[in-house]
Amino acid sequence: MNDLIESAETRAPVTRRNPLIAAIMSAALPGFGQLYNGQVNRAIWVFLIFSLVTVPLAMVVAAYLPAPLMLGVLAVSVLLGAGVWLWGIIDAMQFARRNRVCRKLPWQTSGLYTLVFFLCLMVVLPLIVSYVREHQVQAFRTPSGSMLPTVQPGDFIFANKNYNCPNCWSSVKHGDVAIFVYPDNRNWHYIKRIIGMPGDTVASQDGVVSVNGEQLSKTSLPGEIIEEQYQNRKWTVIGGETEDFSVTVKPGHVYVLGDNRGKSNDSREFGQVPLADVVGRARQVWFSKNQDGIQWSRLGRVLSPERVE
Amino acid sequence: MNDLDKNTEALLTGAMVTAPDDFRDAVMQRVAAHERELQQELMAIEKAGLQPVPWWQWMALTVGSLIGVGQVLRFIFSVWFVTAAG
Repeated sequence: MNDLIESAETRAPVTRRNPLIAAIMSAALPGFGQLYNGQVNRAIWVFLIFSLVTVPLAMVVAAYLPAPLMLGVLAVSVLLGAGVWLWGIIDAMQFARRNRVCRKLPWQTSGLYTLVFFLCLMVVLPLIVSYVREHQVQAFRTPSGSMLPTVQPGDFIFANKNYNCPNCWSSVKHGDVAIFVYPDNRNWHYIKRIIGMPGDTVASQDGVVSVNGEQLSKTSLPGEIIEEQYQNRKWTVIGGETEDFSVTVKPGHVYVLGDNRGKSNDSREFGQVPLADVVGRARQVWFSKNQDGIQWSRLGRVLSPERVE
Repeated sequence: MNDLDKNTEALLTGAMVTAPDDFRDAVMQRVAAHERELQQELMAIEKAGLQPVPWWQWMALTVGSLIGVGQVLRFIFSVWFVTAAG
């Protein structure tokens, strides 16, 4: 047996490893440099750790962690991903430098390298990205002021996408700041507050909104700011001149209003939104920039309604 | 000391549990010989005309690495890419 192994080894051509090639390959795809070095098991683990480190963290963020921790944990996931990537580059380069002379293994062919490269980069990683963005966490930018004072123009926010589905951690509730597909153009997303759930009667009289006969306005604050509350959740809006209305929300639909009541294109304009089109719940501001520059005070601002005990 | 003890003592001090004096040197010599063999083989191939990495392989590596680095960065920051929500 040993003779067989020895003869197979001696038949493999001798070659030199190039540390630069190992480093470049690792930079192009984590674990690829290790594959070049002939360390198959190490290559698989480096790629798995790199590609999967973000998914569990995103899932934990979306499902379990309170909104204030969202920004920090997602920042950690970026640092971990980048750390594994850089470590993989250094590790591959050092191994190739220490073990320059080697025998070229039979599977180390350009065809296999190309196959692994395209399979991992063009199929596996995009699938993971797509899964996280569609089902866990997605970032949005708000260009309009229709959700003032809660969301300001130029805010970059994280939305929980593990929301409004049979197995999702959280369901649609009154007062949620929701992201939904705009009914008049399905390529656009809108962000508004959920006011009416299926079967509710939503009405507005002299600017005071009520749900099932219960007035939302509780306290008037300076500058047209009004504090609204429904059941045990409260939020603030900007009052304004609005037409009176009264609607009953259809089954499978929700009624949405912008917090900037006088300047918002919402269910009063485009009608009720199918519940199935509600795709996410805004949770935290992670960046904010307007014509006055970066708004540092907005970073980390939680967008979920305040809970009233 | 009875016979059994004598036999045990003989086993413990005997060649069966003691490495030969030149064991370490022998192993190191084998390793060095293998290294030399590899180096000689490599030198023989280089003398016979081992081609450097051809230009098209460097080009494929450069283009591939640019695509790869872009995809890796896109992956790391995927959660942070924004979509407009008006």
